[in-house]
Amino acid sequence: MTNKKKATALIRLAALSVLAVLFVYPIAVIFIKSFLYDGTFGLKQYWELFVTNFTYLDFFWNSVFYATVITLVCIVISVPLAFLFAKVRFKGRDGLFFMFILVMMLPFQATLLPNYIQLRNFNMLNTPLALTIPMMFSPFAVFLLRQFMKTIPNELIDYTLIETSSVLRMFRYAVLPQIKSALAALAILIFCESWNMVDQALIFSMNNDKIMPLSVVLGNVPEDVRYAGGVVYMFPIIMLFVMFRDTLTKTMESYRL
Amino acid sequence: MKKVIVIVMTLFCAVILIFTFFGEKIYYSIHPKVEIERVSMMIGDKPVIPKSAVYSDESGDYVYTLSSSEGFSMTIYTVHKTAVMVSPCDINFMQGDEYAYLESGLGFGEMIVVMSTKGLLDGCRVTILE
Repeated sequence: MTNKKKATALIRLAALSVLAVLFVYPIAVIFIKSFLYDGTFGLKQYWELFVTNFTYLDFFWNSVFYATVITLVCIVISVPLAFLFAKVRFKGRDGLFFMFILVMMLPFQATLLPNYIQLRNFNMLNTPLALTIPMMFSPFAVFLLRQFMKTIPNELIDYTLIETSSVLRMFRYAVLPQIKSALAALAILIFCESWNMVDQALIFSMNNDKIMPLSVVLGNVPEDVRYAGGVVYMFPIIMLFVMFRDTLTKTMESYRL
Repeated sequence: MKKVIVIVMTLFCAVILIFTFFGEKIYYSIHPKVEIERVSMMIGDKPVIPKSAVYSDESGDYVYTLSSSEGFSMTIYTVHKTAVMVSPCDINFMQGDEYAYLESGLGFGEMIVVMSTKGLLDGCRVTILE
């Protein structure tokens, strides 16, 4: 390796290290400070969080419930829709898909008012349904799965359909095994998105604090236990990412997302 | 690496589950339960307080007053050691309860601890007996 190349590699490494430190620094600070309470090092802050502020965990379970339900239902809805757009030929398919993409491009705030009016008309405001139903329909999920399903050979689908004479079995044996990694990646992304919801909860559940997710309540946690609260909030997401990091990065790389 | 992550996740879930079910119970079991009363009785022109509320040490007589603050999960009650001056009161007018004249140290209507299930310390958190 020439000296010039070595220098370039070093500079790149230094720049990336600085960026990595910038990203890791806040998390490291929160983590370290969560073990400090009244100037002493230990688990007192966690004890105070879990015992004196025991309702904190109720909100934690609210978040777990919302994120899990949204992720599961979103996948169940998105798989057939994506299959429809990827493999079934019908009139207006491309126009309909274009509309899907259009909705995906819209920021959440743009659809907030229509969503609010709809939920109000269905008497769903201030209930857990208001925090889950709008997020169950994700154009992004449909888009992602469609990209994956397009790579499944039509012959495989036809053959399985003839062999099994059942659409459900065809899904099970021909489609799902091919998009397993995509489903895992999608589940993580949707779970993270639901775990971090703030605006929806604040708007759709204005008068019912008890059903709030942890992401909203985090700001109201007493200052002396805020760092421990932050760690408990971040922990599931970080662990999920660490556990499925390979699947996630491979999926993103293979489809250039 | 995966094994470590699984162990950490399992521990985390166990801690969360334990405190979800027992956090509130632990809070109420570790803090002393106290009975409180307002300084509101008068004999003649002097306020009286139950003798059971008055403690003594080398610095003199004191009572535990109660302060409250809105916590995240409930109202948090804290007791504070407050020095008082009391004088004997011979009148036992309520079913054997003994009272003492309050000379100084407390305001009228202030909350004081009259009974506690455990020993109290200045600044310790308590729960109120219903």
